[in-house]
Amino acid sequence: MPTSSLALPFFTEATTSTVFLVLYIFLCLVFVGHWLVASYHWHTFGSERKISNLSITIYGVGGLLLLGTMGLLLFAL
Amino acid sequence: MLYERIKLESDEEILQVVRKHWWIITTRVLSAVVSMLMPLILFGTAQGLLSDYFDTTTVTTTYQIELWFIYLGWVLFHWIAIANFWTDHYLDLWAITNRRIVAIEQSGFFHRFLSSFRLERLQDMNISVKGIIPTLLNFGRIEAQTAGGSNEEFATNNMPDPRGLKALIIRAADERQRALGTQNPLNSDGTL
Repeated sequence: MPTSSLALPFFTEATTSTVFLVLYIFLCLVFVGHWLVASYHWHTFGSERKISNLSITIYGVGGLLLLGTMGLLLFAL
Repeated sequence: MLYERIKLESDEEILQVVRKHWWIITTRVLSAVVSMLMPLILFGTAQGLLSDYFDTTTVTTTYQIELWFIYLGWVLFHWIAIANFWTDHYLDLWAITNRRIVAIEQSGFFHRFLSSFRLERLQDMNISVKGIIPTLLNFGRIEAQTAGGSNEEFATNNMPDPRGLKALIIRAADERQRALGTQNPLNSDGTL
């Protein structure tokens, strides 16, 4: 069976900015996943629609601001 | 929304929706905020203490962006924790109607315990307020025991104004039993 080596530039040339980029993508996924689950719960099981919508908005905007700032920092790296 | 899920009966009306006392969510959020700010405080202190031994400004200027990135990740982690605290507070409640009490216990996103009992089944109610802060802010534990094949107990900690809540439930149970033509073993002030 023929064998061949795979070139994995990520693992051989993992620079600081690459590590931070991977971390950033991971945090984005975690936050978006959590926001979706939280929004579903607040909207489905919450007793007041207004409070649920406000919670979803505040949580989403806060998280996006943080992730946005982190994204800008990533550009500066 | 919640009320569509509870499926209220045709002439059933909600008398009060009670969540845990604001002190609980406030202390949890404040502890998260303090923890959020802790790296800044520690870093500032360390910078002050270590400035005599080596030049800390070189580190902060060289790795300024990386440090801020890590710190914002730390803040995001706490922001998610605060959302969890809010979920526990907002979705954990007692809905008292003129027919029944619906008790919802939420721990995290995927552990939800919903129980309800009819007011005519109310057997006994106990409240307890323990500690300085609960006494000053008037919150504590409320337990409702119901009659049935097996005696069931509904209990929740840190409920605001437990005496007022007990009086409201007993008044509602009295009215319900009057409507059904039965006798409540408890007096309206909660005594037997």
